[in-house]
Amino acid sequence: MIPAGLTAYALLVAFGLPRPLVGASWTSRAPRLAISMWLAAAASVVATLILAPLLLIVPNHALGDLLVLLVQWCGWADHQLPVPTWTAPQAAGVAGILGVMARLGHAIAAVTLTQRRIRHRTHRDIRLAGRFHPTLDVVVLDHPQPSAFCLPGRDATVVLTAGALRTLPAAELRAVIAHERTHLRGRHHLILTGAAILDRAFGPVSLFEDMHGELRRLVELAADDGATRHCPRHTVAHAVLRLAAPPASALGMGSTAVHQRVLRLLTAQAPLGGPAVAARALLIAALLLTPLTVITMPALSDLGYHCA
Amino acid sequence: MVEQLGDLEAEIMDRVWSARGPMAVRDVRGLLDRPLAYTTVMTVMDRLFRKGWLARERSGRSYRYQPALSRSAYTARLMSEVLSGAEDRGLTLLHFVETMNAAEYESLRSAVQWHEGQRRRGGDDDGTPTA
Repeated sequence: MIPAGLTAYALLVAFGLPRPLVGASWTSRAPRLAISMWLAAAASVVATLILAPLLLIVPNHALGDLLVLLVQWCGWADHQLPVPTWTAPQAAGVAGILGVMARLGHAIAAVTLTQRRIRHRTHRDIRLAGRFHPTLDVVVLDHPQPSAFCLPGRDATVVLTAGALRTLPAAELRAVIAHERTHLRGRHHLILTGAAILDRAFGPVSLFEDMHGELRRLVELAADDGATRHCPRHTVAHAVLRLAAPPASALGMGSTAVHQRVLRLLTAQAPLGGPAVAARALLIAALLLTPLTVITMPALSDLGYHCA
Repeated sequence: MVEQLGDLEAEIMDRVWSARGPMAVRDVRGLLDRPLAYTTVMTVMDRLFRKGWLARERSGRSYRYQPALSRSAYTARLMSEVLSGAEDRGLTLLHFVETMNAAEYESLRSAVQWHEGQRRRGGDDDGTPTA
């Protein structure tokens, strides 16, 4: 009963939530809140994927029994408990949980190992070829194409090309650096790595498929917002425009995301109001608490019964 | 220790790149910021040779080293990897913005100019301080 209910809940979140969330316009006004909602939904579904088979293995009341045992041990109640035995649903539960763990473990290994190898090489290459700019606290690469990026990790750093230093006026340069530092401070690469792992592990599920692309967009908006705390919005917009200019070799990519990003900075929509934020925070809390509540409910009612 | 050796690699490459011709270990050692044992510098330069960063030729009983690629050629290769690194975007590095294609860039630029005109005409209607 409870595993079935949990499964229905997981299906609802995994297939019902993504489309409205991708389509919603409030996510651009409150990117950090939207990031939290995606992460809460993902955590909720993953927890359910593990808890639902776990409930098949462990009898529904085991958790309640555990609580009762604890109470008995403390000498508060006296009650006989049944000894658990193995059944067919339990075998299915074991298979289910091993399946989920294997997929997740494989994806974690694949994504983090490749990432570590590439990051190690890029860090070393940039340390060797770049020059540290002490006043800006960035590494400068001697290359004409204007470009800026950050390398997250233990020795995180912001990298600018000499082309970017030449092209950007001082105010826009500050905007670019503030944007990149917001990425680093917010550990945005960890958010994207988590999304990449889940996408790889459970790719066909629309929640994880959509989350990956959507989080990439949202962390850029969040970093733009971070930059606007240091300089006017239109300065950030102009910096984005300047560095998005097609290179001489004309290898630019089509990107409606950049268009939206710049216009969002220029039109300055009002931030979400208090009630709207509260409603979304409530949904985030519900996503995080539902799996836990569902499995502890019988335990709590057991405890009430045994101790009555 | 590993970090220190990494920094030393960077410092040595910087000196070799700035030099006019091939350099012996002794020459490089003389240009470093801190006094280091000859063998330490020799070991790191040997490692840079094995990794393909330095080329060397024998001269008498020691080697003379020069960069395998010029700094700009090396940076160009690195940047083309960085700019085209589509497979893992967002995981090992985060770009400020991707470059756009010419048509989209032009349409965005005219949109920005229009907004800029609005802002100038309307004064402070976007709520940001002009000072």
